[in-house]
Amino acid sequence: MSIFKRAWTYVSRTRKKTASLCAMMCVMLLLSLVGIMLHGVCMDASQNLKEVLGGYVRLTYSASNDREESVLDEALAAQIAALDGVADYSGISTYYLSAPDVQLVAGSFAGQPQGQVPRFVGCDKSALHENFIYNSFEVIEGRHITSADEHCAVVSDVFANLNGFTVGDRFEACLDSVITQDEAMPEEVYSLEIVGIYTIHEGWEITPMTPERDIAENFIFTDMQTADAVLLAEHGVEKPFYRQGVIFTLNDAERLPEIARSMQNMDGIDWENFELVVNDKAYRDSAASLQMLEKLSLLLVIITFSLSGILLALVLTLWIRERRHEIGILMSLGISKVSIWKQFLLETAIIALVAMVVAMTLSVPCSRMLSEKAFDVAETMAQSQAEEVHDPMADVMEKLNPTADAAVDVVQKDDVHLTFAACITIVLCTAGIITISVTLSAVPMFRMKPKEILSDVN
Amino acid sequence: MIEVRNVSYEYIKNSPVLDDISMTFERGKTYAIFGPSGCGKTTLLSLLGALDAPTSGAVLFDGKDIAQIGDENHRKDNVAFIFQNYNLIEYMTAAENVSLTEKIDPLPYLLQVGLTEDEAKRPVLKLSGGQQQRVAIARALASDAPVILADEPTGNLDEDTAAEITKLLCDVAHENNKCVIIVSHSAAVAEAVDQVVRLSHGKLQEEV
Repeated sequence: MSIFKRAWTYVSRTRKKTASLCAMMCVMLLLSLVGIMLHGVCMDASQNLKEVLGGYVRLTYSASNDREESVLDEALAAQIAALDGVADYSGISTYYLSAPDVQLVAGSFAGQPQGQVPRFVGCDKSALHENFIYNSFEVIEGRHITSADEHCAVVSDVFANLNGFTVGDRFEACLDSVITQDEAMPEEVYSLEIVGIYTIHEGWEITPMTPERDIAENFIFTDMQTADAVLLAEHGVEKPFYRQGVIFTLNDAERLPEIARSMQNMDGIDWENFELVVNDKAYRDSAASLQMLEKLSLLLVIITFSLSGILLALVLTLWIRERRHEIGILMSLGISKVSIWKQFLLETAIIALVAMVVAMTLSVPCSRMLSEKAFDVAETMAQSQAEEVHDPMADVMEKLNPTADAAVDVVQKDDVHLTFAACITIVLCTAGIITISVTLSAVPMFRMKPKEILSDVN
Repeated sequence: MIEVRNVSYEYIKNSPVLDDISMTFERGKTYAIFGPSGCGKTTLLSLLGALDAPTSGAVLFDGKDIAQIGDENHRKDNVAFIFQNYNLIEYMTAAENVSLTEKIDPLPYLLQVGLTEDEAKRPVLKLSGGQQQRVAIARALASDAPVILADEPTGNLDEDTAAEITKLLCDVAHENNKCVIIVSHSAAVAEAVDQVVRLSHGKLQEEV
């Protein structure tokens, strides 16, 4: 009789024993797989967090800077952007124009000329604006503003609907006396083409006192060329500069403090006139809870693996010791020890294979369920941390500064899946535990003479 | 053929169960080992079958020490056992037990010892003691080994079946040129075999 037939005969005839061993293995494998998958999700989430909340540094003007001597221009921004770890940059210049022919979301100036003044946010790349970085705003149609654009705008979906605009439509805005407060100044008209429409995922509370320009739906993102042209017309600024500073995005949020230090150590920047705002709060808030989850899941994996290994080894030892009569018979019939060891190994492998298939099938839904619960906890923690630091009196832009909420939302979108690496890990570990357990429990019996074993049993 | 040379065996130091015994068992002959309980008959059988090793002396097969042949090889190629308590694999059928070590059709051997085709397919635990003993005998008969070592093979069988099985073992020895060594208390066995050996106080004594 071949080894495989002997093994299969045992597995198929001793169904109760086989089923209980299979059920035990299944539970252990399931726990291990869930642990591995949860850990994997946490790792993925952390990585995503680094990418999504990559952190940024905003270079702005210090309070003492009157913007006459030291300004943030493209040359300075490019110099800083050349630092290792800086992914990209975009300058920001906020400006105001009247838009008498369009309808805005009504605010405190409704019906007055000021009620037709939306906030224009000039940027090199609108995708790098904080609201878009954190997914508080999201372009749902068309595209973002790029540095090559001229007279282009990205508007909110509410604004577009109010005015029946779609991507490709144009609207006019003008620099008039409402803005300049100078009746003598000639009116400058700017025709802007809508290249993108964004939706607002997370806005902020509007009160009757909120002016139109501070309502998120009335924000119009434009290219920097238009912003520069308006500033030139309004203030006579010939050498363009970024009025609200420059955002530098990073590849890895974890390196943010290091990169910020490098920036501060750069030659040629007068730090009396500039300030560096390091913003990795969203990453830190979310990462803290995620890192805790990551540690917990790793602990779960280690504990489950260790306990499973020990328990499986003990059960297999008992299982094989129970069969010492059989070992004695097989040895007395001249069947080699290696052949008996292979038979036991094969039997356990057959049972483990069934347990593994069941465990792998159940592990994905179980892990999904557990990860949802775990991320709920993480989100709650992150939110409570975010609330602790929230400043209700901050500027509208700062209010909108997204924190862990957005981060956790991003993380929750991650799918729990069984990776090939996890499968291989489980297979190898199980094979290792089985081989060691079977060997350790069989070897003491193999050392005995068949007569000793048979006399013992009889 | 198979020989014990100056073999001693001790369970407790200085009180040998087998004391410097020597004897040769030939092919084509049947032997019966008699002696009082606890005199070392089963121990002798175990030494001949390499289930255990002598404290001193050697067991030789065809002139070669079985320690050199290797215990596993000796058990696999040279000897077949019929145990007093059957020693069958419980979760296997009678047929599977018989074909455990040999690639053979087990049915003729089971029919030869008086079991039916239906009984051959049954798990051994569903057979009576006598039937299980027959399965153990069939397993030894099915083996190619030139030596059959039988420990009380007819102990659980009725008189007629016992006589039948003893005759069968003797026929196998004579027809297939095997050496059959039977440990027994039965007078019928003593009458049927070619040579009776008495074991007493650790010494072997051949009876004529």
